[in-house]
Amino acid sequence: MTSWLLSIVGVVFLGVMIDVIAPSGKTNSIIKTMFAIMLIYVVLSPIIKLIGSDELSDWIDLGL
Amino acid sequence: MKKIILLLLIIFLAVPQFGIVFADETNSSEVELEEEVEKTLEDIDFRDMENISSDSDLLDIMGSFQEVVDDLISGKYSDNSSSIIGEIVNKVFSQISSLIPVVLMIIAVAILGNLMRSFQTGNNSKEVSDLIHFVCVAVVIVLIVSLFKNVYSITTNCVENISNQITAIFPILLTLMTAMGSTVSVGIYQPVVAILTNVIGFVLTKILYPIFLMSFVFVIVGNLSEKVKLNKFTSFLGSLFKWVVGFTFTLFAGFLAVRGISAGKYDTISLKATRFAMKSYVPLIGGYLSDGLDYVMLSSALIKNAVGVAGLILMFSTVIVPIIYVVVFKLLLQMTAGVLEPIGDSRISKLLEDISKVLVYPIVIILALAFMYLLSVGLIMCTFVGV
Repeated sequence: MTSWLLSIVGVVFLGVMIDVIAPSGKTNSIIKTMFAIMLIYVVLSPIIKLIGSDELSDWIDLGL
Repeated sequence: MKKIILLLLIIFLAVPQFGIVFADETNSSEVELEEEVEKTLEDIDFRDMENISSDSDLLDIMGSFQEVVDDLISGKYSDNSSSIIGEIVNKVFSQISSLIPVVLMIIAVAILGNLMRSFQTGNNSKEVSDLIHFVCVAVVIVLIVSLFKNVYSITTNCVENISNQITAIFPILLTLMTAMGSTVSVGIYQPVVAILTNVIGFVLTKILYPIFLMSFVFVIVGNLSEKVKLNKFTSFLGSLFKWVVGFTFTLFAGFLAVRGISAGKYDTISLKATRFAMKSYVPLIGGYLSDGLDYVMLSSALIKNAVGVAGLILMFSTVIVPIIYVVVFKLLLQMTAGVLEPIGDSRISKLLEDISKVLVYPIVIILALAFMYLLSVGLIMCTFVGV
C-alpha cells in the first residue's frame, strides 16, 4: 500500500513540476492528458493486479 | 416455685444476651463484608493496570490504580476535579503556544507569496505566478507535515494504550464476575472482549488508520496544483471511513447489548436456584452457607464496580490529552484558513481547510474505541445478579 501511495504522489509531483516548467503551447495539453491517463493507471493499479492474477479467482473459489 | 425462679433467671440472663447477639449480628455483617472485600482485593493482581497507569500523564495527580480502587470501595474517593481541570487547561495552552509559531510561519509565507505575485510584471507572468504558488504550497506542506508526525505518533500511542488497558482490565472483571456467580454472563463477555481486542483492533489499525493516512496524502497531493484533481477520491475515502466506522460500531454495540442483557437473567435464575438448594438441602449449616455466599457475591460486586470505574477514569485520562492536541491543531488550521482567505489566494486556505477536515478521523478512531470500551465495562458493571 505504501508503494501504491508513493507512486501516486510521485506521478502527481512529476506532473505538477512539468506543468509548472513546460511552456504553454500545443504540446502542453497533450502532455497533461498523458499524465492524467498515467495517473488513472497508477490509481487503478491494485485493481488491475487483482484481476490479472489468479488471486481473485482463488478468492471466489474459496468463497464458494 | 424453684422452677419459676429458674425460668425467670434464664429469661433475665438470656434476653440481654439475645439483644447483644442481634446487635453483634448487624455490626458483624459489615465487618464481615469488609474483611471479605479486603481478602478478595489482596488476591487480585493489579500489576498490569499499575504499569499502564504509570505511563499516563494525568494519573499521577489521582494516585495509583490500587489507591483509586480502594478509595472507590470505601467511598472516600474525591476526584479533586479542580486540579485535573487545571492540568487539562495547562496542556491546552502549552499546545497552543507550541503550535502558534508554525501557524504564524504559514501566514507569513502565504502573505509573502501573494506580495511577490502581485508585484511581479512581465510577459510570462502566468508561469511565474504558478511557480511562486507552487513554492509557497510546498513550504506550507513541509510545515504541516512536521506537525502531523506528532499527531500521528500521539494518536497511535493512545489507541495502543487503550488496547493494552482493555486486555489488562477484562481478565480482572471477568474473574470477579465468576466469583459473583454470573457464569453465563462471563461466557457471553469473553468473546466480546476477544472481538474488542482482536477484530476491532484490527479494523482500527489496519483499515481505518491507513484510510486516514491515505486521505491526508491525497488532500496534500490534490491541492498541489489546480491541474491535478483528486478531490473526489478524497471524498470517496471519507465516505469509506464513515461506513466502516458505522458498520463495526453498530455490529459491536448491538451484539453486546442484546447478549449482555439476556445473559444477566439466566444468571439470576440459576443463582436463586443454587441458594434455595443450599438452604433447604444442606442440613443445619445450609442457612449460614447461603449467607456466606451473599457476602462473597456482594464483595465481588463492590470490587468489580470499583475496578470498572477506576478503569474508566484511567481511560479518560489517557484519551483526553491526544484528543485535545488534535482538536487544537485542527481548529488552529481552520483559523489560519480563515485568516488567509481575504488575502486573495484561496488555494492555500483551501489546502488548510481540507487538512483540518481530515484531522477529524483520528479523533473519531479514538472516540469509537473509547466508547466501545466504556459500553462493555458499563454493561459488565450493570450485570449484577439480583439478591
